[in-house]
Amino acid sequence: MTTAVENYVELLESQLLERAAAGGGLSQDREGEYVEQFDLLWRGMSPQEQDAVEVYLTSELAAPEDLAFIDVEVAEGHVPRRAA
Amino acid sequence: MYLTAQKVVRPRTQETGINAFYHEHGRRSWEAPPSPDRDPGKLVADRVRIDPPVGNRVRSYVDLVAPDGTPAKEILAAFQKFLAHTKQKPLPWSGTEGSYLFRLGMDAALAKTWRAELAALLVDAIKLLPS
Repeated sequence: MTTAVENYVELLESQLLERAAAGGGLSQDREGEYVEQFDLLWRGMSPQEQDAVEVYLTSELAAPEDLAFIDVEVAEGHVPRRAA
Repeated sequence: MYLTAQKVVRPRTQETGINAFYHEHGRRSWEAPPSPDRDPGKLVADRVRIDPPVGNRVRSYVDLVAPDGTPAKEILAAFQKFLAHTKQKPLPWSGTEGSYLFRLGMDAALAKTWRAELAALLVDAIKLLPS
């Protein structure tokens, strides 16, 4: 991955995490700032890098079919947890 | 603190939702974060959509362990660093980042849209932090 592609993906993840920290949404101004930054990065990339971003963002992660966890309530303190 | 959110499905009805739990350890600093399996802390708040939160299949989860009182922004800044060096690996992910411990797991179907799934889990988890 080139630096430009990495920067784009990092910005996307930064936006995702900032939205989460804010409870799911950002102000219009803040979203607008992100749009400007995305636009700036996108315009600075070669067509190959733009393709690489799309491929990267749609590539599937390897993951188990089933986590094999159930949620359990532990009697002591009634702390809900996961257990295999 | 141990903040966790997990998407669960009730096997009999297929009802699905995210349950989230917030625990405190009573410590604002530590040398190394405790394992939430051995020391989850004291349950302080929860948000249970699939009730009872017992006997359901877990489809995804995120665990965030940080000293009590850490602001959401700081936790998520550290989480982004954690993501940067783990996201090339197969799920589930687990690791420490300074004073923080993070874990993320989801099944193969949810992993296709892992960022959206992560966002949904984090939003529900962060809502439980004291303001």
